[in-house]
Amino acid sequence: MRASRALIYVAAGLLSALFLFPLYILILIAFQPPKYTLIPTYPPLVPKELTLANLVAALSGTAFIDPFLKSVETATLVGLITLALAIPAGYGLSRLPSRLSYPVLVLILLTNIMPGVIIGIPIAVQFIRAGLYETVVGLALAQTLVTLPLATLILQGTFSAIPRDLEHQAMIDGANLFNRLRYVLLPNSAPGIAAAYLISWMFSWDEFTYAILLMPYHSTLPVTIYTDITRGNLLAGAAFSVVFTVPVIILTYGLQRYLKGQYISGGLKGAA
Amino acid sequence: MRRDELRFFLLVVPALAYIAFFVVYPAFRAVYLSFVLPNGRFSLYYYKFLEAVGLGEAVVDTIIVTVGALAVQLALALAVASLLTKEFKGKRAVSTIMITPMGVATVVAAVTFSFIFEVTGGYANSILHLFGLRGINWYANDAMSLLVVILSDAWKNTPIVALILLAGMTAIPQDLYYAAAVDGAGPIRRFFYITLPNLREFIAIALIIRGVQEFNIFALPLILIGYHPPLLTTLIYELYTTSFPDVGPSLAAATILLVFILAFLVLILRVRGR
Amino acid sequence: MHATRDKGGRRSVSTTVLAVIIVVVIVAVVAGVFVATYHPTKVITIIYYDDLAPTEAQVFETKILPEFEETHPNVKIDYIDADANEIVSDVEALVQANKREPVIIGEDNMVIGELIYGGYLLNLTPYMNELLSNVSLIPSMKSIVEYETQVFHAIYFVPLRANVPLVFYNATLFKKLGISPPQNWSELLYDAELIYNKTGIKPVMFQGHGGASTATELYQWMVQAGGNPLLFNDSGDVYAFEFLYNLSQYFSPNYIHGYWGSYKGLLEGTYFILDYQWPYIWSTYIVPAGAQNNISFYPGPSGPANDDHLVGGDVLAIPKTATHIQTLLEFAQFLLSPQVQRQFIELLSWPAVNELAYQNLPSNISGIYTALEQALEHPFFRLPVPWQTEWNTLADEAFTEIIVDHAPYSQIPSILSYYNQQMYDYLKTTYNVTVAQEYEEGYFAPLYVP
Repeated sequence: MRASRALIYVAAGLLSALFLFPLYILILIAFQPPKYTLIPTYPPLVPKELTLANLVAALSGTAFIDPFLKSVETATLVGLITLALAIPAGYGLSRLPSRLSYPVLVLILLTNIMPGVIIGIPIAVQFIRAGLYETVVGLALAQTLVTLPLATLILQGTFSAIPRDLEHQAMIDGANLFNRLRYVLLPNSAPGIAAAYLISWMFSWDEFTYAILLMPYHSTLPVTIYTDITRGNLLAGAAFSVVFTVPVIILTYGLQRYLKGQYISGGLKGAA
Repeated sequence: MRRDELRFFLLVVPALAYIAFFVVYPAFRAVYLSFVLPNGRFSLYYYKFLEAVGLGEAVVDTIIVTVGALAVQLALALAVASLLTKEFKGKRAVSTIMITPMGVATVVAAVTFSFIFEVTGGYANSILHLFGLRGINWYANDAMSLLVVILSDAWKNTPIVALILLAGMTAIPQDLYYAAAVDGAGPIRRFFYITLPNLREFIAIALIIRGVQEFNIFALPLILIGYHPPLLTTLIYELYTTSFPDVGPSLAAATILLVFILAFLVLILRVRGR
Repeated sequence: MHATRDKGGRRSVSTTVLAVIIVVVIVAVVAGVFVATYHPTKVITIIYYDDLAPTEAQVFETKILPEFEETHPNVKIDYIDADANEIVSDVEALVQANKREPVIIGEDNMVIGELIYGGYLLNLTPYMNELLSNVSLIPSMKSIVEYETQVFHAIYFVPLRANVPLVFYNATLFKKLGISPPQNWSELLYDAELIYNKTGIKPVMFQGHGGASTATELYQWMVQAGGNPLLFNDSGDVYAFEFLYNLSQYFSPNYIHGYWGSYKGLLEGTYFILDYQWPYIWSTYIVPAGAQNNISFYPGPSGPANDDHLVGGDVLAIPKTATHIQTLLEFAQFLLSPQVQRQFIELLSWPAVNELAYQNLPSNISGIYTALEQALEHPFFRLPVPWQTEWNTLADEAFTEIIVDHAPYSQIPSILSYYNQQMYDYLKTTYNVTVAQEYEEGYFAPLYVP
């Protein structure tokens, strides 16, 4: 018995270390002078000297602010567009009988399989003609493709959890759709909606493929980090990465209940 | 009742319209354009051209990465999920730490792993050095380069697979395990005869979701290995241009990728018996 | 019954209203985002497009552009970072939409041709005296302007800066081994072998990453062997590949990831010769790392046929529909002035096009300029073609097959002929037989300026 207990703790420790290691390395690179990180042949695994110089140098000037703002604008817009589409869709699907809702859900999930590199090219050409190339609106419209399926799933699950009796009761009491929304649906689904918005926001924040195809030049943070790295500007890339990641990790830890719970129950209710 | 259904269906229409416009139409257009020359004639030429730029190798590499990554992620996720079904001190902390990769953007993960796997000045080699070993060239040949991509991808995506499997594992009634233990089955036999069979559905779901995403893997290989060795996605990007008429080869490669994904889906669904 | 139907009717109206409300909210938010990010100004805002590396852009934005804004308080400069090709599309879109704004571009000399041929640029001939009032162009750039006048009978762009790749090497090691930088290809091969035998380290870093950097480097190698790179298989091209094949046994193992951002290995001693890297790394990486006494540079070995060097760089041009021409010209004069061109040299290691900027250079900088001027003595330019992506990919594939995968030496000519055939077929199918024939006859070739 004790041996297997010990095994559990060893496994836990090992796995934790594994999952935290790359983050640790990123912090090492961003917060140490290059002579301990980029120059040596075998860079030390423990911090030797900490400095804020890399971050200060990288974050001054428009080199960081512009892509940062682009990312924020795009992510916010993506969240809103996603909600605009996913809330009605999720609600509708939750109230439809499964013979109708199931195939639609599958169809929406299937859009996830479409590789960004395929659709990106015709979309890029259309966008150039429509003047949406290299614009926040254009990119947001494309990135919604990534966020819509999961958001719809989450919201469908959320609305399913609201008993229809509650709505029927309100209807009998004379409430029209608008009031039903206000007093029954929205209050009960607010956590789900918030989760769907935040997750969409995070997906957009992370998104790379459409960003590099549709906004290659004056772009969001992920693409900027990529161009920095490919131009040899490694320290800036590392500094941007850290600033980019820390808030998202905090958000992730905060949202973990939704990421773990909603993802599974929402997704598996229909599929399993 | 049907009128009610219609009303609810109408609510779904905006999302469907969006998909039709942004997914279905561009996808059909992309596939169509890959078969049509600028003068309008139907031709397989762009597919032939792909041979000259290493299509065969890209296909093989893509399959290797997909299969390899799925195998690694499944194995690792089973370990993680099994761990999380047990009770131990600090379990909540581990459960939270495990999600860390989900919060790290793909680009950031790629950048970090490119620092780790650098041939000189890389942290992986620093670890080896600690044990008195010499640093190895992580990109010495195509196989190793693909391995670097597989490992980096596994780090980023194991948590999602683990979550799915965990949901499945917690649904398995404990009685099954007790009964088996009483009958004298050790932990390994219990795993293979109880856990795995009951997880079939969940493994299938994980394979579907992650398998498709593996075929689409783009940011990681682009940053870690560039165009050598080629994957389908990086090949598509290498040929990428938005100017007609030179858009053909890129779209042909993209169509081939789409075909693979569809074939994969069909395969999994068939095996699953749906 | 009646009541239910009534409610049913009202319910569908409510649903529609809801849908409309949602759409309105979206539009309002989108509009709000645009309004929030629009900055109205009462000053003239010059829009300046250029394609710079992040470090270069930072220097520009924090040091150079503010100088102009200080002496011209009613002018603000909005620097827009865009890729060379994107700048072309942007200018085309601007002119076609007849957008009247003060726009000036710093465009890659390789693609400016597209804009000239399309008639999108302002004719600068009337302003040349003004523009060049404090400028004496270096010889290669003078030739370009003369070429312009010859071919287009007008001047549509003015050179802004030149960019020539140099070879960087570990001077300390070379001195220790008693060798000097190789002056031709056979010396290069000999030195590489010597260094390898003496140190056990393969000394040469080549840009084998694929994509544009490999294609560009191969381009220059093939030209120096006397070949037309676009053809793949003329005698000069074959010679270049055969030579690289032999040199590759001394390539640093990580060369398959070498590209324009690779320089670290030189500082770490992983390799000793960095083949063809843009000079900006001198002042932005090497000097700050304190390595300027270990690392040195020179134009590189001469090829068997010639000592020609690929010249990149930017030129200034103004879209046809631009407004506030006078202000734009003042800005252009500023960028061409000796002081600013001098800053290009000192802060960015950019070869200035204004000779007056080279006077009295501090010693740690003047070295790089001797190297650059030498390289600029025999310049050639890459001819822009629309099928560049396809050529780049085929070149990359040829490189992979011959060098990386080490095909048998005797097969090199036939392999290159295969790629020539592929390019021909592509042009024939995608364009027409005439273009393909022109290609085969060498009509598309590196651009030499007499």
